[in-house]
Amino acid sequence: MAKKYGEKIQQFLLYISWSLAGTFLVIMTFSVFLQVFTRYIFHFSYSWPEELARFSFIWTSLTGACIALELKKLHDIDIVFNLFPKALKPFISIFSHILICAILTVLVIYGLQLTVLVHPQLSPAMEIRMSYVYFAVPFAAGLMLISYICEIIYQISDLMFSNTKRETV
Amino acid sequence: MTLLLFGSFIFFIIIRVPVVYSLALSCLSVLLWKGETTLMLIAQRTATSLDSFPLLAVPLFILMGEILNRGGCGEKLVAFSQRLVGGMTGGLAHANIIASMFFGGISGVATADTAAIGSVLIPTMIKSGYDPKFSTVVTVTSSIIGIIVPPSIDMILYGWISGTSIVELFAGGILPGILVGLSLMALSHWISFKRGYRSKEKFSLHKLSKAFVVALPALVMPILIVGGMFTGIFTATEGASVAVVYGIIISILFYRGLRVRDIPSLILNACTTVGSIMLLIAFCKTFGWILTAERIPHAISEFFLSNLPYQSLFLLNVILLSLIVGTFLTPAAATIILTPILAPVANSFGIDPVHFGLVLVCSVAIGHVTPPVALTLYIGAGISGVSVSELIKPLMPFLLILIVVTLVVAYFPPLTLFLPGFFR
Repeated sequence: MAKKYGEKIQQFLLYISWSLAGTFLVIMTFSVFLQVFTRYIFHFSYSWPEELARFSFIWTSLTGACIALELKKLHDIDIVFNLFPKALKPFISIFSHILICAILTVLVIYGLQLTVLVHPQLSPAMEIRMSYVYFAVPFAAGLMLISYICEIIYQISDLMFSNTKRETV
Repeated sequence: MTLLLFGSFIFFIIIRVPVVYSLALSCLSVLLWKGETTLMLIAQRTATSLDSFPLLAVPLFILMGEILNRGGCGEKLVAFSQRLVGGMTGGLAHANIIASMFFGGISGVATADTAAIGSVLIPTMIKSGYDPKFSTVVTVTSSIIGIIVPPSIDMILYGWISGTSIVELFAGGILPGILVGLSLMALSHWISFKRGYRSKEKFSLHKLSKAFVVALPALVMPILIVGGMFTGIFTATEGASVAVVYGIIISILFYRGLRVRDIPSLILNACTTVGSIMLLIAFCKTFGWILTAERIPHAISEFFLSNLPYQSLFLLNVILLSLIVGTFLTPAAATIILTPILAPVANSFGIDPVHFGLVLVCSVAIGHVTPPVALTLYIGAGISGVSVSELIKPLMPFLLILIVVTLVVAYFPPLTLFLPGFFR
């Protein structure tokens, strides 16, 4: 039950981060290209493509990290972990997930504070609000937090399920 | 505090927290221990460390690796290299290495190189009677050249963190990259000679020129990117964007390997790689800030200067450390973590930053083929169907060659400093 809904949520998170990261990657590529192109063909350059590229890069990187998380491509080292006794593994795993949630919560809370703080500032070239840029941090951290919470819920439900099974046997 | 930083990092790694979060969590625990109340700095540094134009070259080169891999450039480069050296003893092995050198000159990612060259050449080699293990090992070790010759993601990361000129680093990578290629060719020639891998193919100028014409648009690319950067027409980032657009055009119009409907999944792959590297970069500024505040690089250089004041010994230690770290981390992660610790120390020893960067990148690059964490080795094994544990033994002589080349890079500075000398 929990797993079914959890997987739907994670699928949805993957689509959101995929479309955002992809869009910003394309914007980034073409704005850098535009800058080179205008400079060498028309001998002038705008100042906004460079800024647009940098801001899109921040969004691509952070939402790309969400994709990497959803596809389990965030690299970890399991050789020591595999040596732990089998009964202990789920608990260690839940513990490590909770630690990750802690750092992500820090990023969400302080990222939001930062976003509010920089809201009045405007970027130098495009004159957009800096909060649009800084919002990437709490946004991406929030997506990752939801995904990790889903993982923790699976693991706890797995643990409870396997315990009851053992008792009935 | 140093103990807390590294101890907690290792603890988090052991309980299987992903490397990225281990780094972030160990930084957080140091900050909390010190009673730092301004945790907002972590969030701020996360955003500001990504706010950098030179760093933009990384996602662009990753995107390009994906485009070339899907777009059929790999096949054309392989065909050309096959016509070039296919007639020699162990011709396909040589073709494999040569193709990796060309491909490495276009893409900055070793994994794209393994996938593109390996998927074409490993089956061909096995069909022509080569040992599957030997074919896989040649493919994965030669992909390392992609990290050393320009453009290279890891060198951009090193250059950005240590404040070294990326163009000079790229120029410095050319000769070591060629040296790696030549020494791998020498080794595979010897092995092929011993095992009797003769080639049936006769060298033919006509076929060569035909393959050359087909491969030309791809072969022009390294000259376009590297040449444009070295002559100062554009920066690494701008060069990368030009290359991406050029790559899309030739893949769709000329090679017709890339279809428009492949683009979303291509972008997904690129974003995954970008995200997993860039999240590390995002936390790296906080890490660097703690290192500086705790004067850790300073302490290391003082220790070395007062106890072991020999440049050569320090370089040897760096190589050993990078090899060990490289077996557990991906080259990009190893570069991101080791550079802020070691680059200041190297500076106090008076080692040229370009030279040091090449030593560091060459030795962490070897980590790409050393298990337990060896991305290219796993990709190669996936293509050939040989299990990774069976590859360890045939890998050894190649690994030895790579280590010897790294030592040559470390103790013969003109190799890395000759070409960058033209830009100073």
